[in-house]
Amino acid sequence: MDKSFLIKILDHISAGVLVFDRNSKIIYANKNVYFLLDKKNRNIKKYPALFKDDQKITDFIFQELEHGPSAGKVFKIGKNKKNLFLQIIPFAKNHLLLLEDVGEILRVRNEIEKMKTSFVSLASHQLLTPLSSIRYFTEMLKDEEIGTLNEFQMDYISQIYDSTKRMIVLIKELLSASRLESGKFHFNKEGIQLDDLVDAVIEEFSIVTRANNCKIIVSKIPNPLPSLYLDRASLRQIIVNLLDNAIKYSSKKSAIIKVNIEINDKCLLTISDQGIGIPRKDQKKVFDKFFRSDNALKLNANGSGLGLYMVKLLVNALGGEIWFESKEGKGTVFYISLPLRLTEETKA
Amino acid sequence: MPTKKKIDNKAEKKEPKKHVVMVVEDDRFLNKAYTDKLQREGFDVLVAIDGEEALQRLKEKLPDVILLDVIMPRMSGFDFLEAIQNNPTFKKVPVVIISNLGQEEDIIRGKQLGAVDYLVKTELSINDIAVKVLEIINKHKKK
Repeated sequence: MDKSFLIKILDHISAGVLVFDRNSKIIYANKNVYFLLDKKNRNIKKYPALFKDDQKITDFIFQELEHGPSAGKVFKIGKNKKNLFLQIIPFAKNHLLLLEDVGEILRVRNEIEKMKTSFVSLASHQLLTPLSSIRYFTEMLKDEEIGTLNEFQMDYISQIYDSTKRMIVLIKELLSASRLESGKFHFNKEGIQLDDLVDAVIEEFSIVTRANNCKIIVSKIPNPLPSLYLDRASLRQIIVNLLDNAIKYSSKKSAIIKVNIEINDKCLLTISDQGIGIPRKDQKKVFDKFFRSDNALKLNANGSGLGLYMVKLLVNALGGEIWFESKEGKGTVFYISLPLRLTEETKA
Repeated sequence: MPTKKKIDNKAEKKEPKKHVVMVVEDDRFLNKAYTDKLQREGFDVLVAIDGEEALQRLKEKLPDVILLDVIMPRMSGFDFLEAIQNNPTFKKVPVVIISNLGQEEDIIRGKQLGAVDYLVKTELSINDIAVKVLEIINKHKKK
């Protein structure tokens, strides 16, 4: 292909295309490089001068060249803080820098997110209303307030009641997830004794643990534990979801679930079980929305697939981290590391 | 299964008089559920489908407590609470919000506007609601 024709093509595409050598000298730059970066001076010799007000960009480029390229990154660049996607493609002698204005894409994506959140909030609220009335009427039937039921009628009404409650829980989880995703969750900082919270949740599960023949053992270091200053409702939800999974996916009789709390400069909460474990092929997807591994589905068809997704969202929103170790057929250990207190940055 | 709490809605011994609850709820199924339950538990029930109708009904008869939904046509529960603040008689009636909006900011707003309690529909049984209604009436009477 004719070189001048190629240059004509490059001058007409929307992306900024820049070629530089190992000494950072600019060999070629199409006109959109200067347009996207709001640079009037086209006599710049070395590419770092294009980004002299944005040190983190030159650092990024250096990282890409040193350690191998990534898929690129979006930066707010220049006086007008344009959202520009920047990608480095290294070659043997010279390197390629690509720039693309993604402002409009991001704007549309944010609009879609807002519409999705509004829709989910409205739909959830509208769905919860008829579910509430179904729940109330089945409660009154179950309590035999308008007449006694025979064994079969009671069984059917109980099934309707349980299904209704499950649907309510699912919708509320969807709503919570949606709020967390959109950053609309409000956290309240308060002093929490984590061992008391864990004990309260274990008590809530007492009927289920007995039915599943599970034993939950709690240990803590130090004893007594110092207080955490985090959001109680979120912490409770994290513990509930993880314990629920540990109990639900226990395959053994007399299974032991261990909850360990260790607090020094951070809080490390560990929940380990002797359950079915997570197959290796599924481990990367475990925190994905609606994901349930095949062995979990076989053991227990009920479940929204939102439990661990919510746990990760909540842990991240609190400024923490979550990871796990698991072996199929042996069990799983979840590790949650949390800061000791909510800060302005950790609030959702 | 937690034991269902019994409701001791006995009328006063000398002049038996039923407690009056005003249910303000636009969903007709929920309206019926509350009305049937509360009547079975010995309450008199007045019904309004939104805040505007509730204001009209208040002029006819003052209830002992108002069970108030939030999202309603014409006049929402929050707007109703604001409206009764201007009436010294109406604002004395205790109002319990019952809604599926359960976020912290909704609860705070409801209480700031004068609600004595805020119940989230999906977190309570119908029996819990009836128990709560009687608790509020009795608490308010003592004041």
